[in-house]
Amino acid sequence: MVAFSGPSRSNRIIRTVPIAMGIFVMCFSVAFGVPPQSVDYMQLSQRQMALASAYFSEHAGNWDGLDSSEQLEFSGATQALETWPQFTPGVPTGQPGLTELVAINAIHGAIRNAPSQDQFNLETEWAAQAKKAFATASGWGSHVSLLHPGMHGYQQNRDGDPFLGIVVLFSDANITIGQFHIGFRTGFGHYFPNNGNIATNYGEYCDWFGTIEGYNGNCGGASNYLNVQDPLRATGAGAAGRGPHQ
Amino acid sequence: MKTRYASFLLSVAIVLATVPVLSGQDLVTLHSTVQQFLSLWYVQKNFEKLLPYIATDNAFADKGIRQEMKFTPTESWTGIFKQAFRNPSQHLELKDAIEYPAEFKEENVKILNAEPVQDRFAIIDPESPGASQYLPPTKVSGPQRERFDARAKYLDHLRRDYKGRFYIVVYNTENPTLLREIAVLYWIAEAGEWKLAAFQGTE
Repeated sequence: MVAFSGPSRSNRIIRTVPIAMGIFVMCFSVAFGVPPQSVDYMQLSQRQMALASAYFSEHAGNWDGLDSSEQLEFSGATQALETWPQFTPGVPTGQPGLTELVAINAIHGAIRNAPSQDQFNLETEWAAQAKKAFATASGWGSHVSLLHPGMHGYQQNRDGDPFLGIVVLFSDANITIGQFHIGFRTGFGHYFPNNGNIATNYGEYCDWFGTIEGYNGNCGGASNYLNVQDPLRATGAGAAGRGPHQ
Repeated sequence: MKTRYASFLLSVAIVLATVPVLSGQDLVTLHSTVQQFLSLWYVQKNFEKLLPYIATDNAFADKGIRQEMKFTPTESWTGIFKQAFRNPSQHLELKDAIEYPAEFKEENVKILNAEPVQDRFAIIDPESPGASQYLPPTKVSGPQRERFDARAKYLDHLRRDYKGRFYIVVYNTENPTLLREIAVLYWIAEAGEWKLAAFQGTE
């Protein structure tokens, strides 16, 4: 009779080390944020490419010069502006979209230690009629903008929720200047940087605006945002990204 | 018969129209309740003592919302109170913790307290058009209302079922030891007392 002796010590080490490393990587990712995967420029729409090209002409750069969170913010936010009516049941045709956008003036992804409201948004030049168009968009309403002094705007009210969906802002002094972003998280909680992070809310993003063709995120991985205790709130970082002054 | 019925409807309409939205005494009571609550939260940081301020009909007790939550209502509220602080050990005065800036011009919002800047918070009439930024849209069809998510349905319920007993308090957290956000607090009157029904931080 052979007595059961269990795995040898070296076998145990071989099995345990990768598991421990996996747990470590997972904890590290949660605690410090992991940049999202990059977005394939060639998968952008013609309109997105035109906006990107104009931006790089103005800012002397290229797509690869953006960090991955900036690439995702650019592609995801501009797509959202174009596709929101298709993914909102009962919305009549003729809603405002990407045509309201004349140019992108700045791209903000994850910015370590920056306040939440300064991360995950695109600064824009709006068309002259954009403000009126969003003011009357189906289901949209005015948006509180206390943390964006000198600006006012409108919110999508996704699923009737006044804290979810696209937010477009216009300068009080010049309505052709502004910014826009997406608010993902509500659930009656605090406002955290990840509220605007497409990568960490990609499940919701896909439901609301469709998949991003050049981005290899997992639409099925809907975040359980109602129960997340945001570990990054103290640092203000939503994901690894640029420093505050880059 | 028809005339009597019409007269009855008219008298009901007159009574409803003359019900004060918020009487002077109600406003005083709500104002002092909010002040006490905010002081317990941001100055004394006594989270246990905050729990009696929570309404029985609160967001985390709502059936639709509870299905999505893994925490109990008490845990959820305590979490909200604790998470407001980046550095809980730092002592704060209320005047250093929150503000309602003079330059904050909310369009079409009816503010009920006379000195929101001095009070450091605004009590907002949810019936004023600009209050829609804190509430689900009203100009929606039946099917659209059906598609509201659980949070939107809950806020819609507050607006519909607590008419004249439901107000919104708004302020901005300004101290670096606090999470930076606009705080939106939904207060309702339950059994003659003002209670907190929901909290939402926004940008």
